[in-house]
Amino acid sequence: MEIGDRPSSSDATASGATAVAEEGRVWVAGKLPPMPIRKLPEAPQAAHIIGPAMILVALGVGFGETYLWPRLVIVFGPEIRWLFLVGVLVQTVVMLEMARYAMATGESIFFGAARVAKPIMWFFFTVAILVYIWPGHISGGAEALEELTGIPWQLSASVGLIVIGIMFTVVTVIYNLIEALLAFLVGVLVIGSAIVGAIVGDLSDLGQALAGTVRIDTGIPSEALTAAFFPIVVGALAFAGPSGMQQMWYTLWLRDKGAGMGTHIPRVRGLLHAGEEETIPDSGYMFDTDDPAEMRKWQGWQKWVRYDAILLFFGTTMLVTIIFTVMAMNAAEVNPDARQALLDGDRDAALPAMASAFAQAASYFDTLFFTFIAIVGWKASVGLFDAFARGQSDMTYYFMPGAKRFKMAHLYSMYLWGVIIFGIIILNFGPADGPTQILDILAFLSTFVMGAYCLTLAVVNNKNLPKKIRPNPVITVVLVLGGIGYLFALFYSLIRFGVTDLG
Amino acid sequence: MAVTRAESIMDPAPEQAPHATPWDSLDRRQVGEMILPGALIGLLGGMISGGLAALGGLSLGVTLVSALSLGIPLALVGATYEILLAKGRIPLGPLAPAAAVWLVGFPVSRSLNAALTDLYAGSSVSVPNGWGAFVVYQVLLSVAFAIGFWWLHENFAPRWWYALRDSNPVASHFVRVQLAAAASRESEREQRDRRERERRGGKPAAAATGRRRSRRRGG
Repeated sequence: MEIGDRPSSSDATASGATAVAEEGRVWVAGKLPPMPIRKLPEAPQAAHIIGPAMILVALGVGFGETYLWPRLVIVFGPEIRWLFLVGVLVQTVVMLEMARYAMATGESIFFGAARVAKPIMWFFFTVAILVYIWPGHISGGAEALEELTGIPWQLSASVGLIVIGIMFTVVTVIYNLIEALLAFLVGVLVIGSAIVGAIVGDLSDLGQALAGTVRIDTGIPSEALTAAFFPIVVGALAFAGPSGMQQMWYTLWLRDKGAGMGTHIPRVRGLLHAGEEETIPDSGYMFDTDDPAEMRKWQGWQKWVRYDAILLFFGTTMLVTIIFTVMAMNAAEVNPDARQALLDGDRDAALPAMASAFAQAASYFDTLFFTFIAIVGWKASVGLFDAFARGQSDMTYYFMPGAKRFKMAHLYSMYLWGVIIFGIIILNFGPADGPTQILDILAFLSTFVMGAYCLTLAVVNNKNLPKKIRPNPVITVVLVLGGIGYLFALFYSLIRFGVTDLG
Repeated sequence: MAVTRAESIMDPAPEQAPHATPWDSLDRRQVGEMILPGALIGLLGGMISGGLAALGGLSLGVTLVSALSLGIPLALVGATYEILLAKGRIPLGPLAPAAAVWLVGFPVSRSLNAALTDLYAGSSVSVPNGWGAFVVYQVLLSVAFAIGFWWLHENFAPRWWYALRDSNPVASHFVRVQLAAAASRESEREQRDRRERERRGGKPAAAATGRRRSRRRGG
């Protein structure tokens, strides 16, 4: 560890430095521009002030919770839900560690990865384009809407995409809009889940769902280890909580929320307000970890984000998914044929089989199922398009030669409208999930990136941060084991069964 | 001292409201304004229930009974929560008071809903396992409902109070309490920092320690 003034380029190659809070002092991490030392703002005292975990909840409670896990519960019973608990626990740790880096530096995890090695950052840049340009999430929701209303799915999906584009173009500060919109949707989702659970479930179902969630001793059923189901279990594990790159984008939302040192970084504005954009610094900032007052503020931020992660993210995700488990159990009891169809491995029939199972459990269950899928599809699109444009514009601005001629709002809009226009073309003329030939590769990459970011995060936080605020070794071990776990399950599925279709 | 973006964005809300509020000075319209957020959130629950029944193809009668028999009691409980808040009987902010209100309010609302729906539909589909298990289950689910209610309330009611602050004394009081609490905490922080500096013998808190070495050049 070294203390330094703003160093020469050769000094900047030395890794690690902390300094007192004086002008010109910097923290050096990797070969990228050093981080000037600035004051950490005070953390919000009231724990109930929400953070961007709410956006992760809104995105995270999606396809996995409403479709993949209920399907597994229908087939294997609630006993398999402990795997979901493990997945969400790992994701909670990942979330806290993502927040550690973003709040300490104001930088995204992509910038942090580039400080370790730029190719890692470019890997994430490429994967984001490969995986997230396909409008599969909104087409899934639109198909459910067609089931409910008869409106052609291509039409509603295309209109939905344009509405999202206009929203993010005219608004002054994009984060404020997305937070208010998704706060409302999450609130409705929780209240709706409670009402639905209260109407359709009973005490015994709830007891079994809760027991299945925590009873690790039940193990994994032997049928789940077959070629037909093991890849699905791996996919469901990856879809427990935020999947793909959502956790990485969380660092960008934290920054725009003004969490920790993110307060020193300008926020992303809508295209119509690009002229109001403040000057963007060359790097993030670091606070003085030798100053007890600064460390006290840091503890405050950690407390704030723990609340965000544990109560909001973990609690809400578990709450909503318990309700879906209760629904799935009801459906399985009433319609054993659906279970058999799923066991026979007819994956294309999975959605109709589940809807049918739900319909037999209660007259409005299938409607409810489609309603949730429609809402999940649209809200996922709102969050994912913003996230994609946010992440890609961040990496482009900082690391693509010549990109700093543009404002961040211009780059953001370029990616946003690019993905929207591409999406509309694909929705109307091509395969919404992506070309069939590469579907498996996309699903593989989506899960692979989760293993990759766990390992990257462990390195970034242990290499780029001052010693006093690095994660403790237990947390690092959890991150490494989580990363290895995702990658091992993925490659085992590929090598043992030759299957990477995880859905 | 300049207010940073983080501070301006994340103005902390108070954990405790003072007990005295200008509730007695409110006229009927102003009382209506104060109970609106809680009542609307409660009503939302009824709309979800009715919406499900309608989308599920149930008859108009069952849909209406399902929506109203749940929405009205939930709206009344939501309004009760607002009145308790406005009278200063429960503190502003924490989840626990909301959970306590719904621990009673939700099972009662659901029981009314189930009883009236069964009465109208002429069967006992709502409580197939008996009332005992039903009520216990609803008590457990009340926590989930309370979290959703509290979530929406915390996010949207303060905006409503802010809009009413010039015409409604209790709304104005809530806004002032929140601002005063934020200022008070700021002052507490400053005092704590000062005490910490004094405890350290007046040395600047930013002094580097231990094995860190300085390689300052110039300046």
